Amino acid sequence: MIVAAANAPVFTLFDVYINHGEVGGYLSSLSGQGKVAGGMAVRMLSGEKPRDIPMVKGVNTYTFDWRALKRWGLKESALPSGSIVLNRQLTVWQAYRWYIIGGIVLFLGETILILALPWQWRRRRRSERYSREIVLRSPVAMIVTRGPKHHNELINRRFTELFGYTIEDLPDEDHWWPLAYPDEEYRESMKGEWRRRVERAIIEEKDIEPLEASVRCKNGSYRHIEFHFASFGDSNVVKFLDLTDRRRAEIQLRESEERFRLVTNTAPVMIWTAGTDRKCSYVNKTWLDFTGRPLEAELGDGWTEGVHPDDSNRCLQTYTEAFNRRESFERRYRLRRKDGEYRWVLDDGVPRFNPDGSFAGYIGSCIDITERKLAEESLATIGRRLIEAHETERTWIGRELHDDINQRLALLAIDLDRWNQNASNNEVAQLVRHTRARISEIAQDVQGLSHRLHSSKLDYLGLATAAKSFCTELSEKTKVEIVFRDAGIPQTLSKEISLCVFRVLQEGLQNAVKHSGVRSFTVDLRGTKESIELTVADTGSGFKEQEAFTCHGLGLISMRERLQLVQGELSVKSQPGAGTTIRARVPLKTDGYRAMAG
Amino acid sequence: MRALHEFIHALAQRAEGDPLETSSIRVLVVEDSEEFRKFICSTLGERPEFQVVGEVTDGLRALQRADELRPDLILLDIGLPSLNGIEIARQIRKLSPESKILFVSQESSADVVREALHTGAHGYVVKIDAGSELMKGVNAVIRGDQFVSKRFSGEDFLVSSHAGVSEDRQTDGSR
Repeated sequence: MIVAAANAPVFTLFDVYINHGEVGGYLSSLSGQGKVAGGMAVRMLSGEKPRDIPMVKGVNTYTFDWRALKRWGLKESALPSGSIVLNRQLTVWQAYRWYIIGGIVLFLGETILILALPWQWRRRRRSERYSREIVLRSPVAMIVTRGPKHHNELINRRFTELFGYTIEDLPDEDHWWPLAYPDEEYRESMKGEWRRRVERAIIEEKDIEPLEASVRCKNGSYRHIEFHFASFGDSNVVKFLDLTDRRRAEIQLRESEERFRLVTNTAPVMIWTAGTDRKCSYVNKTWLDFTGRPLEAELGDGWTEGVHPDDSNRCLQTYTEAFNRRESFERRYRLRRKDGEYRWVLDDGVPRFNPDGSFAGYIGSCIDITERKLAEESLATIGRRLIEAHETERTWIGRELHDDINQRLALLAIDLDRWNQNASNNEVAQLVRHTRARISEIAQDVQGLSHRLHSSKLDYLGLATAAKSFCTELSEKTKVEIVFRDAGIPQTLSKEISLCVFRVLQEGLQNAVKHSGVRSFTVDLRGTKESIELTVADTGSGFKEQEAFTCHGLGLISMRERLQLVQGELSVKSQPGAGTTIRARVPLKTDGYRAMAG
Repeated sequence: MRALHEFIHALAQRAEGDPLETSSIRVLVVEDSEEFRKFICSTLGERPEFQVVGEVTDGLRALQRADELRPDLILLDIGLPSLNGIEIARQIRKLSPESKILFVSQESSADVVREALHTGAHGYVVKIDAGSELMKGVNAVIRGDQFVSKRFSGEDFLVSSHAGVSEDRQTDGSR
């Protein structure tokens, strides 16, 4: 009451009076005093002497009531330090701070969202424009549809190029069917197929399987199309791949293969083809008729079963080597005919290439050359006999000339010498001398002829000396230089070998002198334990090696045949303008040779 | 038969020990042409110091007779059946080294002559020149000289060794 009636601030001494309008002051806390007194009583009760307990100065603090301070306009800053202000009232900020912060954050967020929205719209519009452009400019024909009725939202340029239809012609799917498939039956079958694929895709949770169909274009032509489908939400994209050219090429290829088969099956030769894997991919009817086996048995590596075991490795090796180099090849092997007889076949294989130049495999043709081979063999025998007969004849004539004619000429000369000694007058003596000289000349010529036909020197002197002698004589006769070298030629050689080498030398050197156009030649004759080698070389005009056995041939052919009689071989190296070297090699068969030497 | 007859005849002559024969020159004629053999024998017959002790027509037979008779002189053809004269000469050098050999052959090639003389033979007469050269050759060879037909006068057949190997040749003798 006092406080309320007072017109000045009322201060008090005890804290319990506060809250009743008093301002406050340096207050003594009654409860604080009680606590201190209680504490002393406890200390005394526990035996502590009162005189030991120190005197308590007091428990007062500066305490004020906020409401009274406000009422009297007293400032808190004017209060003594350490003052406690009770019953202080809260500000709006202090009371509602979190509500205020939350509201501001919410407001700012909304603002950002509102501001970002148009930007997002622009982005989306741009993205849509890009997608649209991609579809429009795609090199693949496309349609984009939307909604359950499949309204065509976009038809790209390629689509219009391909089919001629525009978005005006095809506003939706319903317009597509009659235009693309005017034939009702075909249309229904396509619709059915389409539905089946959609259902299967739904069940299997996969994309719709691509579909092929023949589509009518606006100009009435038809194109072979492969359809691809894709869904994005309520949008669908249909892609149209034009397979018309590929399909046409396939058809053409099939037709071409059919024609090939037709031709090859009526061909009189056996024909095969192989793929890039080297395996047989086809043989013609002629082949099958020959082997008497079904096609399946010949395909892959099956055909090799018919090749003679002795020829099989060589045959495959030739094939593999040529195949790896993509080169043509020729091989001869024995192939089993259906009657079980092995027949010699000549097989020509050539690589095949696609129009783009890529390797496509091989094609080959075989002919039965058994008869030809027999003919060749008999021809070789005839050739050998011919050479032998020729040699025998030459030997006979040579010997006749040498042993008979020349002997008689010698006797005649001896008779003339006697006459000359007994000649009665000079005139007769001169005539006799003259006649004798002519006889001597004839004898010389006959001996030369005899030596050419059959070189008795070969018998008397052995190969090396006879060869050297021949070179010397030819050099003198034709006025050319012949450098002769020899080494290691055995004194005793079989007559066949020495005669063969000698004949090759005669033929080769005479050819060289006649055709090379140069005046200098080298002859090299070498013997080893294994063989005799003869080399005749010139630095003259030369010729093309390919023509060696054709154009320049007869001499070389007869040399080669002669050498074959003693298992020898002939090689010719020549280039136009770079001279010619012929090399003959004859093996020395140790057994035969020892027998001859022994 | 004829060869056998000659053989017996020669043996008989040796056995008789004719004092005249001791000084005669015993000759073996190896020649397959009958006419030529006759010519040789008649030419030699003109001179009493020569005695033809054997006539043969075949190469192998010539070796056999040379071995048996050991003649002073052998007149040897080259072109003969079974073995040629050059080969015969080589063998005779071993079988009867004291026999002198004069080739009488129609071969007129210098290479053949060279090879023939390489065997160790002493002379070479070409048949066609035999009318004038046979006796010259025989005389020269008997004297121990070398004789070669005049037609080869330009050639050099100097033979110092009888190795039978020409200088520029490496003959493999083992074969």
